[in-house]
This record gives sequence, structure tokens and C-alpha cells, in this order.
Amino acid sequence: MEGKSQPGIFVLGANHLTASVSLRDRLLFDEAGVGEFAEKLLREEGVSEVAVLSTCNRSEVYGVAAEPSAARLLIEKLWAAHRGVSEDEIRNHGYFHVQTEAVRHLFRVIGSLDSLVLGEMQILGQVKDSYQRASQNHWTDFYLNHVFQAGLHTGKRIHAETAIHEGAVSISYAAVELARKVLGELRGRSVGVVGTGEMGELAAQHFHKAGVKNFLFFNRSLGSAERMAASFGGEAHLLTDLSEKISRCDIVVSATGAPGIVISRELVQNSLRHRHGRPLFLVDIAAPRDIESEVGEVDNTFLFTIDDLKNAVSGNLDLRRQEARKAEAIVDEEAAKVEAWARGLDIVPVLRALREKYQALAEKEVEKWASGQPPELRPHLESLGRGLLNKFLHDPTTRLKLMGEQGDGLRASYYADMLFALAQEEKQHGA
Amino acid sequence: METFVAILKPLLPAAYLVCLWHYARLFFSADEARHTQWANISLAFAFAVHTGLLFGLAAQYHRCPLWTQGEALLFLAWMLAFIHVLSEWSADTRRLGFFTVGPAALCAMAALSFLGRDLVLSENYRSSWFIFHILASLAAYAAFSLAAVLAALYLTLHRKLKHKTFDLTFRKLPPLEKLDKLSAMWSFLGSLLMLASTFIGIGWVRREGLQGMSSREIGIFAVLAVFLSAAGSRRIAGWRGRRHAIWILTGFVVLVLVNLAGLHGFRF
Repeated sequence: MEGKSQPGIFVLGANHLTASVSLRDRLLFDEAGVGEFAEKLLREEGVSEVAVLSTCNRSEVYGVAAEPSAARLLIEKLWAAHRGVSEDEIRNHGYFHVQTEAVRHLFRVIGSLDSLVLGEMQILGQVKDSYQRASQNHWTDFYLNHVFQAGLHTGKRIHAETAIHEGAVSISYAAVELARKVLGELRGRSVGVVGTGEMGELAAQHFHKAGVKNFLFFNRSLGSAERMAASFGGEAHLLTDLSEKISRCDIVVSATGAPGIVISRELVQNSLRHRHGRPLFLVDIAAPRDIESEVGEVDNTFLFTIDDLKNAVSGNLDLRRQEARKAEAIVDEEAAKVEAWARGLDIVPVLRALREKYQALAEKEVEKWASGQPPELRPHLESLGRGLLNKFLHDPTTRLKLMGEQGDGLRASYYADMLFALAQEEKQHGA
Repeated sequence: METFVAILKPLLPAAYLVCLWHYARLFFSADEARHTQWANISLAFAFAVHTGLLFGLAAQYHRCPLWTQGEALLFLAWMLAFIHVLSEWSADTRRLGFFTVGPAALCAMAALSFLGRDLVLSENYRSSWFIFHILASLAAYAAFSLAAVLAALYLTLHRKLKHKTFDLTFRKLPPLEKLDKLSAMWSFLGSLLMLASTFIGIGWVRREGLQGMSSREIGIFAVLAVFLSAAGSRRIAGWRGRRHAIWILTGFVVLVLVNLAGLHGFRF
């Protein structure tokens, strides 16, 4: 029963930690390029399965090969030719992992532990898409299918069991999150953007993404306010109209370049009279400040400055780092399961031989007993044969599988040979 | 039936403690997913034990278990747990379970220490008018309690927002507006139930030909006045947020003080 050594999983890639932006751009696979590359790779000797993950922060080729180190050279050559980079660049600015390390790497990527922004969950969807594309095109088989499915399960566990994805980690998004903490759902809310420069536009983008459809843009000149109103929806007003219109806003983001105060305590107090006690959320991201600090003392008014937003972001990053430890433990746990599964693969040919031998015996016996009997009896005999076969083989199969998973595959094969005479059987078949 | 009640009595505090532990983990730890399921299961179990105990007592005494202090507290605890379930189902307030199921657990445990022997009731107290009066009152108390818990949580989050404290509690609490609206809704509902209870009580007094009015009743009217004026000022003058929360808490404190002296009664 001396079989061939089992194929191994590997990953070859480059990411934001190992390669510059320009090299990452050059290594990036486009939609059509992925297919062409994978098909070409699978036509070569030695690589049996392939999946390609390509995002702006990483390009990685996952595969299964009998000799992963030989496959590495082949992939470097093909990748270099495909994207017009040198093989040395890939080798010097990339990484190559095999077996458990490759599995752990994939799980860490899916769990967003290897991401530029720790805990961003976009990567889970990107890996899912890459895997689906590979699976639909039959570039993957049982090995990568198992590993990727286990990886997606790991990603879901990390998402559910840790808070690694919680809390905004960018200043603009922190403003949106704080607004949600005060006002709840932002759909249907009105956002006043005071100052239509770069910062104002970025804030408007984030609130627009959060579902806000009603904007009021205030600026010294109407031109840029009208442009932003046209792209995000809403109205354009002159800055001088602010005192009159501010009561219509649930959220005010101020980002002007004005040297003095634009929104005073008095202005806010006056506006609240028309708001019937509804809370007002203000963000001051201007330097120097646009909003008088005393505004924060007004009842039902919540004022946040750029420093407050930075503190919120920093707190969230600390939390994510703490949660990353829990996520790493989940990765280790799930990778160990895959490792045990992979070890168990050594015993698969033995189990197959065992089953084939006894299935043939069972079929022979059924044939013997069924001859001369009424034909309606045959299905019952076949069913009896199958039932007995499954019951008799259940315990040996389970035990052998377990030994294989525990890394004792060779001994398991020997026992199986001795007890069930599988090698002898093979020889007879061979003769 | 006595055996059934005897089994459920010690089981009830244990079930609530387990439930509270899971809700505490849900709120105070970052990995809430693991505790969500257990919080649901333990709440369902505690609620089932609680309901079973009430039915058991009713079957044992052949009457509604509402008359003694212990029984009223046990029913109030059940009402608190029930409105938590309602709130969790309608407004997704599961994360707040530690604070909303907590009072139910406390009341249930206190109730068990007061639960005594059966009473001999006069016919007046067996009237369905009286039963509905008590039921509506206890439902109102439960609604006021939930409103007060939500108001306290509102003030906690309000303080954290004003002081820019972005800690775990800050992250776990629902949005300020949600707390404000839910608190207002439950206090208004409590006021309606209390009004209904008052009218039913008046109806019962007239039917039974009772007389007299205790000083505690005036206290109950004061509670009603505070909660109704909180709802009115919110609607008319826009007194929302912090002011409304303080008002609700004031009403709740008055309610507790009024009831510390015991339940009001009538002379036959």
C-alpha cells in the first residue's frame, strides 16, 4: 500500500507589507487576466488546483501541487510573463508559504488580520468572490474547496465572535458613526455641510454612503455648493443663509477655511427653538475651529471636534488590536482542524481499497443468494448487503481515519494491510 | 400542586441568575455573539419557570396570586420580564437585558422571601374588577420601571457623549434617540395603564359600595401627574432628551417612595 505522497497546498503572493504600491499595481490581475493565468497554469504539469486573489492591497495565487517548490518557479515565471514584471521582483518582494503556513495565511487574510486596515471586513467578500470564480470555472477541486470553505467559516467565526471589525478607523467615518450614536438611523436626516472644500466633500461622501439623501451645502460662493448639491442631492446656499437654515439640519459638518467662528452658541440656541427639542449633532473639522466650543454645552446639542474624532479612532484601533488576539486564536484552531484533515488524506487510498474489497465481496454474496430467487427479492438482498457492509466497516473506517488525522497514517495503513489483507488483494488484482 | 410549586420556587432565582449572567456577558464583553444565544435560552427558561410558578400558585390557592405583597411582587417581576421580552422583540434591546431583566430578577427574589401562606379573601376582593385594577397597576409599574431604566441609560450615554468617553459601555448602548423614544413610549404606556387602573378601581369601589381614600392614593395620583406631564411637556414644549429623562426618573423615584409604605386600601 505504499502510495504517492499527498499533494500540498501553497500560496505565492505579494501584499502591502512586502511590495510597494507601484509593484502591487503591476502584479494586479484584472478580471479577464485571472482566467487566462489560471487556465495556463493548470495546463502545466504539477499544479492541480488554483485560486487567485487580487485586490488593491494584495495579489496571491493559491494552489495545490505535488511539488510546491517546483510549482513556485513555474508560477513566478508565468506571472512575470503575464504581467510584465521580472521573476526577481516577485521573489524579492513576495512570500511563499506551504501546507499549514499557507492555510494559516489564507485564514489570516480572510479574518482581516493581514489587512492594511486591521479588521476591515471587505476582504471576506473579496476572498469569497475569488473562490466562487475559481470553483465555478473548475480551477479548484476537493483540496482547495475544503481549505477555502474552512477559511470562509473561520472568517464568519471571527466576525461573530470578536469585535475586530467594530468602530470606525477613519476620521470621516468616525463622524458618521458618532452621528449614528446620537441620532440612530441616518436615512431621512438632513446634513448641513458648511464649507465645500475637500474635507466637506469627503464628509458628504461618507454621510451619503450612510444613506443621507438630504444635504444643505453652505459656502461663500454658490458655485462649488451647487456642484456638490448636484452630485449628492440637496440644496446650495450662501454662508450668510446659515443662521436661517441651520434649524433644518440634524447634522452640521463645518469645514471652512474661515479665520474666525462661523457657528456661535447664540446661533445654535436660536436654531434649537425651531427644532422642538430634536437633537443637533455638530462636527467641526476645520482648522482653526469654525464652531464655538460653548456650543457643546447647549442642551440636546452634541459637538465633536477633529481631536475628538481622532480619539474615537484611536480607541477603536486599540479595541481592534485587542480583538485581533482572539481572532488569531480562532485562526490557529481552524488551521489545526484543516491540518488534521490533510493528514487524514494519507489514509484515503487505504479506506478506498478497504471499501472496494468488501463491497465486491458483498455484491458477490448478494449475487449468489439472489440467483434462482424471485426478482422482487433482489432489492431487499442488495439493501441487506449494503447495510451490513456499512455497519461492519464503520468502526474500522472511523478508527483508521482518526489515526490518519493524528498523524499516524503509516501505522494505520500497516494495520489495515495486516488485518484486512489489502496488499495481498492488490497483488491478486494486479496478477 | 404543592410539590410543583415547591420545585419551582428555588428554581426561579437560579434561572434568573443564570439569565442575568449571560446578559451581563452580552453587555460587558466584546464577544457578544456567543452569549446572545445563551441569553435567549436562559431568558426563555426563567420566563417559563416564572409563568409556571404563577400558574402553580393560582392552582394551589384557587385564585389569582395577586393579593399578598409577595404575590404582587412576583407578578410585577413577571410583568417586568414580559415587557423586556416585548421590548427585545419590538425594538431589539437585547443588549440592555442586564438592566431590564435585572429588576425582574430582583423583584422575583424579593417576592420569594415574602411568599407566605394562603389568605382568606372576602368576596369583594374576588371581583374581576379588582383583579383588572391590580393587573393594570402592576403592568403600569413595570412600564414605568422600564422607562426609568431606559432614561438612566440615556443619561449615561448622554454624559459619555458630552465628555467624549468612547469606552465599551459607550459602544454597547443603543443610539441616544432610540433610548429617548423608547423611554417616552414606555412611560406614556405606563401612564395609560395607570389611568385605566384608576378608572377600573373607581368602578370597583362604586360597585362594592366602599368608601374612603388613603394618603397613598394621593401619592399614586402624584406619580401619574409626573409621568403625564413628562409626556405633555415633551409633546407641547419639546422637552426631550436629558430633561425628559430626568423627569421620568423623578416620577419613578416618587413611585418607589409611594409604594415603599405598602399598597393603598379601602375601608369596607
